[in-house]
Amino acid sequence: MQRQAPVAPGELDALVVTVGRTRDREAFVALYRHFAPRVKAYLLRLGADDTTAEEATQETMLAVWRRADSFDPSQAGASTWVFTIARNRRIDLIRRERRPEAEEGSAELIPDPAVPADQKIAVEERDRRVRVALEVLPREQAALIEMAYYQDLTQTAIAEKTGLPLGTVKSRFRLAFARLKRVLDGDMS
Amino acid sequence: MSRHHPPEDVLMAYAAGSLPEPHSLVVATHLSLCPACRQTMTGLDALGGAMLDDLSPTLMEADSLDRLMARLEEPAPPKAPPAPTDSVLPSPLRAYVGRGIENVAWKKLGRGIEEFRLPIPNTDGYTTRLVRVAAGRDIPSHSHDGDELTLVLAGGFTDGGENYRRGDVAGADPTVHHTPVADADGVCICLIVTEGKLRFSGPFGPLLSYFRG
Repeated sequence: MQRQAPVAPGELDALVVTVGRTRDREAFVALYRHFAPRVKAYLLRLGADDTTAEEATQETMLAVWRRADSFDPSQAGASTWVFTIARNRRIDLIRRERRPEAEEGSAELIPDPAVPADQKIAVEERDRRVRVALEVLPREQAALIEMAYYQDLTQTAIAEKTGLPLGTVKSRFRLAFARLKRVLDGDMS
Repeated sequence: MSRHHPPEDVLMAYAAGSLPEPHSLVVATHLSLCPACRQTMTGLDALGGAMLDDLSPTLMEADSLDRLMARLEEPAPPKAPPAPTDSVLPSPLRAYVGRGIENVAWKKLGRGIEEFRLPIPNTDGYTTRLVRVAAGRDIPSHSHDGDELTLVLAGGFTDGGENYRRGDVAGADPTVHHTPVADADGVCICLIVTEGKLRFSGPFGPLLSYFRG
């Protein structure tokens, strides 16, 4: 495989925006080189066989091409956006289930009166904080989050797999979630 | 504003994509009604994005990029229009019910309780239903084999000293034995997902055999 320099998050955002605006194939190939091998790795981690992972990655990248014009970098970074597409493609193609979602931007959504738009943390800042949170989480809590995201395991299944009591799994999970939420809410301690 | 949110592990499993479809429906409906959880969800999605970036890239098939580029001009499948919404059913739920709240084919269970089962394929072991309870009535004392997730859509109910109103979510695990009572101010409509079977223990339990799932 070709060696590639790591792409900065801002660059990835700009590439998706470019694809959305001008259908630029070169920009799309750059996105493919960064994301396709990661999306496939993600699907393999979740237990897909190589052929299925390859197909679902194709479908994910095709959706990236088709929906790039709806990408809004003020809502989510490119990696987050691609993650949600890959996750939903997996549910659709591999689990064969539907994915109910709240319609973004729909008039029925009850708006949040407490947080004016200019006070929301910027996407870049949020992504930076998430990274910090992942790094500072105690090992056993980070492992739990990994299992939730990459092994498709419920708490009960995690308890069975690790041999830990369900109560321990639940409390570790709550701790991880609380810390994550604190970091996202701006308390970096 | 919701005061009772889905349990943390349920929110995270929804973000991770590992939550069963019936529970995902409860979360999506709650998200339509709860800005705070939508905010949390953007953080959990960002967590997924960060973890995707951190994965070691794997090898793609040699012809993978060529095959993809050849497909770029394929016509996209038509996008399904979002389901309409009504005063009780937010659009994600309205899509599953397939009709407005005024046209739901309620089935009477007796004692002021009616239900409508949502057909969700491949969800053996879960029962997903809308339940309508007359003002002030209780659901007979029961426990469950598995977890139960309840979302209030209209009216409200009180259970274990807590009051739940539209948008609120109540979770109950197998250790909980409860008797929820609908608020007196009107009919209470809930979306309830039950894992395993319900076990009734009150004097009216046997009458509600149909409820057992």
